[in-house]
Amino acid sequence: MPGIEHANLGIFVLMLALLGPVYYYIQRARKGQSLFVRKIPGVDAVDEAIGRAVEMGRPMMFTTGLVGVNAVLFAVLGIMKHLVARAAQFGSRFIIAQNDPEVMAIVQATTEETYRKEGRHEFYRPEDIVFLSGAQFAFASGYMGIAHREQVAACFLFGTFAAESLILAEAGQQVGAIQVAGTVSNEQIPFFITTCDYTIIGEELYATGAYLSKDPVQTGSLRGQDVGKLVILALIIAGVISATYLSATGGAAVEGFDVPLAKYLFGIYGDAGK
Amino acid sequence: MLGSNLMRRKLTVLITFLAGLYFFLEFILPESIPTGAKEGEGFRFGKYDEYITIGFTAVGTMAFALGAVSILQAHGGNVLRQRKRWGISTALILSMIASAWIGFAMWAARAHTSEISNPLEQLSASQALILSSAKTPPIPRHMRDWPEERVPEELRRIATSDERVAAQEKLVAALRMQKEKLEAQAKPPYEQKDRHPSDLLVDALAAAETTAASGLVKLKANDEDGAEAALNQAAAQLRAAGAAQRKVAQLLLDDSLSNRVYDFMFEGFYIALGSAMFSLLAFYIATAAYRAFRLQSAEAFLLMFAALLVMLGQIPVGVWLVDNIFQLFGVDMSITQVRLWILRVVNTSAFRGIALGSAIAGLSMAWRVWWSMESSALLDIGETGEEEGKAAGGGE
Repeated sequence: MPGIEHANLGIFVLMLALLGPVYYYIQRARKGQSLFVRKIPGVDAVDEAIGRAVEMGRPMMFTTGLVGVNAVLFAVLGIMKHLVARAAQFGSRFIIAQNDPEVMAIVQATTEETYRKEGRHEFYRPEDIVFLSGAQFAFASGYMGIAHREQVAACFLFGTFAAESLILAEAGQQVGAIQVAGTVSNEQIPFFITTCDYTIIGEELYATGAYLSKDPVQTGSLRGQDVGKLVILALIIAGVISATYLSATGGAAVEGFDVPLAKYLFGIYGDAGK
Repeated sequence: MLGSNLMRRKLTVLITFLAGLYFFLEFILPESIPTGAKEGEGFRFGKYDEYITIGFTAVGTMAFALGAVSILQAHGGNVLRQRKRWGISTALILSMIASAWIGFAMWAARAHTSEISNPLEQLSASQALILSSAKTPPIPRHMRDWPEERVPEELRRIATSDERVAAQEKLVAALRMQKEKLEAQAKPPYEQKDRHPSDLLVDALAAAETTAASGLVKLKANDEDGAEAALNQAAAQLRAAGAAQRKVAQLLLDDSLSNRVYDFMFEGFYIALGSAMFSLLAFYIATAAYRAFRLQSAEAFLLMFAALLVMLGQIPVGVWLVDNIFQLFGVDMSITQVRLWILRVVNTSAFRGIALGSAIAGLSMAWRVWWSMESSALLDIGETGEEEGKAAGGGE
């Protein structure tokens, strides 16, 4: 789409409207003010899965899927830190299957750091962070192999997934593992819902990191995001009213940029200067 | 130690901020500043994208080299000390060496193939230049953009008859040398019935040489029309020979050992195994569907009911069956409409809600990473390093 990479004033204002509350609530959280964080369905399942693995004395398995170094990875790292910390506390094995070498380096550093912070560095096993393959199905095949060989008791699938999602989740099902998945890949959500015990959907993935870590930056950000969603909701309602009014009074049809509000906000793609 | 960790942290934060600032400004600001400036005028962010891509490639290459060294160290150690699963390490190292060998061999062969016909193409261009030099100044292609005074004087005017004869003599000599070189490489068993494509190439070159030589004779005899026809034909024959040479080189490349090993490993193993894994999905989708359709809750019932309607509206027999039932009860609608309503209204609006939430969260996360508010692994290491440094009483 030509020109989409260049925003106009409307988009700039919208970005400020979405990021302003995030900044405000992060500052509040940093000052030590308590912020209410809504409960995320599925988060309890994370601790339940850890507990089950510990009781059974079998390893836990975690994967970031096909995620690269981007915003999703940082959200996933927040969840992973919590899981690694629990594994370190209980002395459980924590296997992390990797698909991307750059992500693997960050995951290795984060895991080792978490073990160190928990004072259980002796439980850190670098060989449990395994690079399987950069190829999608070779990675899936490697994941299946580990799940079966190690008879994992809990599987955590957080990140970006594609067609291999069902293969990964089925592997966990076959060994009877309790599975918790979270992804922003919309197309894979139904597969996880049908195959995993709990599924964290869409932006809840970002929220889960904040909920588990209680980190002020993440908590404040989560609260700000909720306000941002209210901004979007207000825009949708304003757009609906505007379009309905125009349709009723014989004005413009309800089509794309014919709606004045949308036209003002988003201009004409590819020609922001006009 | 403390200083280096602090420096590392600051450097990471600075580079992250500057990189984020560049892409943020590129997104926010117009394509050119001032707006609507012509190509080459004003300031454009986009023109630096190429340099940034090169930078990424350079860093990626270093990481690649480090990765190869790391694999050799880790798995080489396993093999040498015969640790647990040393056989797998051996297979990995052998596969890596084989892949690298094939990669380099294919790269060298492709480079050779793309350049192999350069001499014949140059001869063809020279022949065309000699041909046109009777009517226009014979300025070679690479000198056409030069300032006039830089081009040698004899090339700025129409060539004389003697000059054209001398040039054609040189060309015929060069052509002969090229043919002899190819003959030596081809080692033609001419008497053999089933001839190699290389021999056919030598034949094509011999024909071009004969035509060019006959053009030379006609040039010497001042037969301008005859010479023009012969030189024209020679240029065309040389072009065809160049194309044939590329094809021959491609055939030899396709038939080479490295290409056959590559085909065997990539097409034979890698693609086939990937397809085998992908085909598992067919069975897994069936088991996932079975699990989804177990009526264990109200949500599961809704899921199954919606899926049933979509399936019936998707398949011809379902449409026929349900539409007939609708008609029987006097309902004027089709199951296809129901399917489309579920997909376009219910499904799309739900996914849009999820997508909007993800987009806002992604924006917020990107902003935190840009301003290094996010506690990343890299920054944490720096902090711990400082703590360790302090604990140990270490300093600069």
